[in-house]
Amino acid sequence: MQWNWKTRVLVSVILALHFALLAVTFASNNIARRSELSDRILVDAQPYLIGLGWYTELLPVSLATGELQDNAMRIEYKKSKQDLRWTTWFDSRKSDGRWRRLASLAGALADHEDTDGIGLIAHTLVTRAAKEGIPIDRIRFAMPSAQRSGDGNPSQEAIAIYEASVIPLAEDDVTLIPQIEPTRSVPPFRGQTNTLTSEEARN
Amino acid sequence: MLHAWTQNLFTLPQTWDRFWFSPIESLAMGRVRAVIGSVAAIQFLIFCTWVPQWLTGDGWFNVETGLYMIGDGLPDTGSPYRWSLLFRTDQTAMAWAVCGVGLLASIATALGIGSRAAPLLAWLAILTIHNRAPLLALPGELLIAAGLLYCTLDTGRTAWSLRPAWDDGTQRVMANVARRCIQIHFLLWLVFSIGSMLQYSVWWDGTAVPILSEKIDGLFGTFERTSPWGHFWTHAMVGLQVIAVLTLTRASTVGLGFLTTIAFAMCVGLFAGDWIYAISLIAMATALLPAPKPASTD
Repeated sequence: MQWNWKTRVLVSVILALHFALLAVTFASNNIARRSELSDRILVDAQPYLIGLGWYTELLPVSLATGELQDNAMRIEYKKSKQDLRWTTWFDSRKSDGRWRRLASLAGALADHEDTDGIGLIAHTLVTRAAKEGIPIDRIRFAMPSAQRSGDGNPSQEAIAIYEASVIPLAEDDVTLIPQIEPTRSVPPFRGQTNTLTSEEARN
Repeated sequence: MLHAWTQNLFTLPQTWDRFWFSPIESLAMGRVRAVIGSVAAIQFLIFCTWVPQWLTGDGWFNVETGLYMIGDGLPDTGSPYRWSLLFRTDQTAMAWAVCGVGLLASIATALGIGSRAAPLLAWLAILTIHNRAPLLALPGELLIAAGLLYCTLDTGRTAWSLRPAWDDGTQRVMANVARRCIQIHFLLWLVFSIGSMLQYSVWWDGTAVPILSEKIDGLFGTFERTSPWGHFWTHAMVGLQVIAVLTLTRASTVGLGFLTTIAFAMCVGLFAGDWIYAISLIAMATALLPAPKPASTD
């Protein structure tokens, strides 16, 4: 059955608007700085784009960017102050996609000097670990070194991008005291549709 | 040449009309629905393995962390529109319920039962998970979520679905609109995926696949940054996407385009380790395959 012309015109307008918004969204994907017009369109269309799941800005469609979030990451811990060696808890190279995404996220947050963000992730991991019976005195996120050892295999050396001591509090809670502050080098990665940095926005 | 161009311009409304509003057999959309529903079911099986452990009160990514990461409280982050049941309750039972409902709805979608309600429910479940932790989402999940939402446009009768009395197998405009939406969405995705990759020097200097291989324990091990094979596969991944876009848009080469998409998807699986994204790409590309000929009524 054919549709009448009024229906066809109405549906055509809706389709054109929908795909134009999608094109703006996809074009803005992974672009750190974009035009004010794109910003405005994306912000105004947030109820539609985010509410219906069309928004893809936070997805790594580019697969590799060559920035810190691309590096393999290890989450390591020490059980007590007497521990000399770090125990590898998760290695993004040997884990599933979700841990790799978490490792990328930690790398991006460290890169953006978002101490609060990476601290929250470390805190939630330590809290969960305590529930699973893993006592943690110190936690760190570390990138395996690109150096190779004498036998040609990747070196066991690692570069810490975040490290914190775990201080137990009352009622099974803990607090983390950062030992290494991350260093900022690229624009923000977190959910933002405007071009303000997270610090500018919070101020 | 100018004359031909002017002629084409005058016939644009008819071409648009034919493209979007020609009725097609519901089965053509049903085939796409079956594939997208199947991939969604696999995604929900995988969700069952991590969502209850991650997105709950004492999970690896609790509500407080989730709210921070979506920019809750910051202007213009769109956080108020990231609706999710998993922000409202941090109970493990709710996480299991979302995964269970999504899995059943996806299976129903794949089997062609549940009309529009089945893909709608599956889409709601997938968005509930995605909105709760968009920074943990993988590209394939959002691609399939879009596919599910387009599937709600048509009833999606599949070859093996129980045929309701009101569905007499006539050709339907809505089936065509749904199929065209998936086609355009997928092609836009591919085009901007190429654009997104080419923003980064690693896709130009050939080091992208070596970098990807360092992140996973892949079948081919780790490529050195200077490895010629690593460079070859980096350029091949970009090239395959370009060929896919060019060939999928022409009726005569759509088969080649589909094969090229499969080849690109294999690269995504092998080098980026994201097999869900790989099968999601293939599932969406099935919408571009020619519609089956209507069954003869003789």
